[in-house]
Amino acid sequence: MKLAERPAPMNGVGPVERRDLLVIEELAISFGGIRALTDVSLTARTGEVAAVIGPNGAGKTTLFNCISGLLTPDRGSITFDGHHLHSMGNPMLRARRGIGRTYQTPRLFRSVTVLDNLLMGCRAANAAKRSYDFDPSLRSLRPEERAGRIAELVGYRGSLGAPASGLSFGEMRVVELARALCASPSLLMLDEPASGLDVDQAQGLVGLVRDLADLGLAVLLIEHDMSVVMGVCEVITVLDFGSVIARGAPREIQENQDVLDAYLGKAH
Amino acid sequence: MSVATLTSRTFTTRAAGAGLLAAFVLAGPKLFTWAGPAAAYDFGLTVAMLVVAVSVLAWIGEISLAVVAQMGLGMVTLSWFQDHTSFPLALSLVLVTLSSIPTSLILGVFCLRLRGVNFVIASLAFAGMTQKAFFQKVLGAATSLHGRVSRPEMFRSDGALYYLIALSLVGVVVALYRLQRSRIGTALASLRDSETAFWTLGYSPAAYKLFVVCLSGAIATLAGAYYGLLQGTVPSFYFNPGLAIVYFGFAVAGGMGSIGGAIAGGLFFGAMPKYMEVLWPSIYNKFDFLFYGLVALLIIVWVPGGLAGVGRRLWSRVEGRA
Amino acid sequence: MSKFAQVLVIGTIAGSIYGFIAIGMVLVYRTTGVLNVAHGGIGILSGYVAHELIHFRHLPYYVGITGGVAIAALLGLGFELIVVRRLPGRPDLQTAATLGLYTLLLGVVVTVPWWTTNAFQVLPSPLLNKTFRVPGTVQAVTYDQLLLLVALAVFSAGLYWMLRRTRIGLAMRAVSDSSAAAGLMGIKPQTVSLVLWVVGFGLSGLTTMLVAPITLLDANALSLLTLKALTVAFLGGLVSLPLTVAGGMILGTLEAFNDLYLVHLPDLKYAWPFLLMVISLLWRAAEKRRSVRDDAPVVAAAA
Repeated sequence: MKLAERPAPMNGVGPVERRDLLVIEELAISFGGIRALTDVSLTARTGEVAAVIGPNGAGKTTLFNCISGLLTPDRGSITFDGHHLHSMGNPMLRARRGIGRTYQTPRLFRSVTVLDNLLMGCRAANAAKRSYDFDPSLRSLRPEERAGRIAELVGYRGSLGAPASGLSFGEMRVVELARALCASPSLLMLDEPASGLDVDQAQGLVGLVRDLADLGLAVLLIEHDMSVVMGVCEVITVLDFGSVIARGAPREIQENQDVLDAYLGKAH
Repeated sequence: MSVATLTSRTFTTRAAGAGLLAAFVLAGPKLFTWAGPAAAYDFGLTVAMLVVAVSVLAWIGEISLAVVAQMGLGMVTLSWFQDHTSFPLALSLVLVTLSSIPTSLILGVFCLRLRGVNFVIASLAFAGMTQKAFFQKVLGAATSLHGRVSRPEMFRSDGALYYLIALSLVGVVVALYRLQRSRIGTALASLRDSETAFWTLGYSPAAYKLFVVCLSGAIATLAGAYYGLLQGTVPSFYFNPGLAIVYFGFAVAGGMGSIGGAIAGGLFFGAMPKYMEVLWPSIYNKFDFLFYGLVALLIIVWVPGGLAGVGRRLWSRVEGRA
Repeated sequence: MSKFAQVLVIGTIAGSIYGFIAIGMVLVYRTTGVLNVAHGGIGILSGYVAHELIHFRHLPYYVGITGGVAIAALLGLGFELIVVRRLPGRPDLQTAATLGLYTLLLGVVVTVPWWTTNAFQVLPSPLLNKTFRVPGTVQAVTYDQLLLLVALAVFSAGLYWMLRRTRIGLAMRAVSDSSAAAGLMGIKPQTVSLVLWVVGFGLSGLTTMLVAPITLLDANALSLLTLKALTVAFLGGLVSLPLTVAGGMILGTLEAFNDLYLVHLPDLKYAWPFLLMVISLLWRAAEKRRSVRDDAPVVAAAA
């Protein structure tokens, strides 16, 4: 899978500068007596692909929901792009600052067309005056053309006029990703983007994610598919029962005893 | 997006349909003078407008039973303008419509905090409270003049009033039609499909919901003003929650969310009983609720999408589309 | 002090009426996901059927009320088979159907000419007009009212226990959470659904039998009661039986308070259900931050 056209790197002088975009410190939240997250800290950098992994119920999606503003944590702080995000989360404002995401089950707008979905993203970017730093050539295009280019970028081969309800599962995933990109995010959070995809599609996703990071985005992934995780991520944070039990490069994580115990059970 | 090329059959059927509709609108109550007075038709139109107000809320996926209270407030407000000012009718109507915004906002706040059945109950409670605490005292023959609306000379006849109401209704329909097909319409459809994705994409669900609630309130209030012009006075218990439930039934029968369906349902169920009152008085007075309830149930269970659904399927056949 | 005690007594009695009607609705909502707006209408029909049997056919009181409850249960059976089964997985449409049913029932009641001629019909319960005085006040309480209060306590405790601790209750809750999964566990969702609707409607009928001797058999009065009961159910969040009963008591007490202490503000009395909702809403607003909204709207707009 190739990009339609590879734009010049952001600053024109080579690989992307790595700076801390999202800094989470000691985040904690509980509902109904269950501590969903305890003392979670994490950093996402521009140009870097980071993963959050862990057994089911470890709190990964809860973490994303806290970052998006859908949930309000009890304790801890989230700093994005140097700004401290208020404890009263407002998902709309956070999206407009540049936090984009996809969902475990694709949440497309099914009563409208693929193009409408993408245009919704483009219009949000316009309203927030966001500037498509990951591909400056998009700035001068009209929204429909911009949407078309981004659709090509993610590898969507179908018709833009097709109703979103008629797409195959793999197509839904890429369209949701395209829609998130249309909103010109600087942080992209992908919740299990490879689940439901076959081997070829998963490999295509790996390439795409790598390209997006190279364009300057900070990418945060939740993923179960280890081939995707090990193939493209540079930093992996492992959650279990709401706490961080390990963090590091893929090789370290693969050999970490605590991680093995968490996945395979303490009997090991 | 490219526009699908219309076959000539599609084009002619649409042109014919539009022509028929225009003729129907222009002829109005004159078509039915054999069945009863023009007032019956006018009544059907105001009901149609109110049912449109109910149906519009389906655009955000909610039901409100407070529309009837807003209708009553429209009538009372128009009466107030007539008593205390000498504004021409057109200006009064505009002001009455604008006056609906505060109440709509109150309802809107409830809509933001409550979902589904909880909002329905809240709207029902609002309607009940308004009826008992306010309308009971302000409306009805025995009370002061506040509840009485008088008709300007120009609209003394029911036939003349028809053109006023019909014109307004056409205006409302055109505006709503354009809205549905605009960016706002797309945004509302997106909101309905996935509020969470809508929100995290960078839109405000609250703003859009409040907009739709205010829109619905404005239409309901205008319908109430026209109703006041038509009837003059109403019994004090008229704008009660039971009526709201009945109108909700009409909206369902017409097809929730569909403007055309709302009008068809409202006009039919609104006008027909009035005509029946003239043609077969003994039957009408006893069986109206029975009839409404039965029809509503039948349509909910057996006819998905109400009259609008049926209409769409028929029209597709006529147009020759698959 | 005596006046205050009077407020409490009247409030408790009125509250028990609202609470009793409300728990019927909460029970159906919790187990089927449908808000049975027709609850009051079913009750009205049962009441009139009982009235027909007792007054016009001169059958004994207990036969009459059993007949009324039986009609309600039969209606539940019919509704489940004809309506609910044809709208599987669509509690929103089922709720809309109950609105239609409510209108229909009101229509049926109006159609029978000899039922509505006498505006002040009373179900002649054997306890009618027998009163006792509550110690410490001047308030007289009828035994019917006391019976209702006792019945409320018994039913709410019983339902609470049944839903939480018995296998039937568990089956009901399982089906409401996921009928497919329940089916796989050997619970027959269709049977459970049938039982739920029959019991729910039957309870509506029974409610009228207990309430009508107190409030008189009048369609308008019972409609107003339904509305108040709905708001009380709302106060309980449509799920909590104890909170629903508490809500009923609070509303009843506030209305009695309004009658006895705020005589110069008679219209405020009608605003209490709404005001209580506002207060409850504000109180719950803080809780809302805790959960991610779900995306399914109540009303599916025309396709």
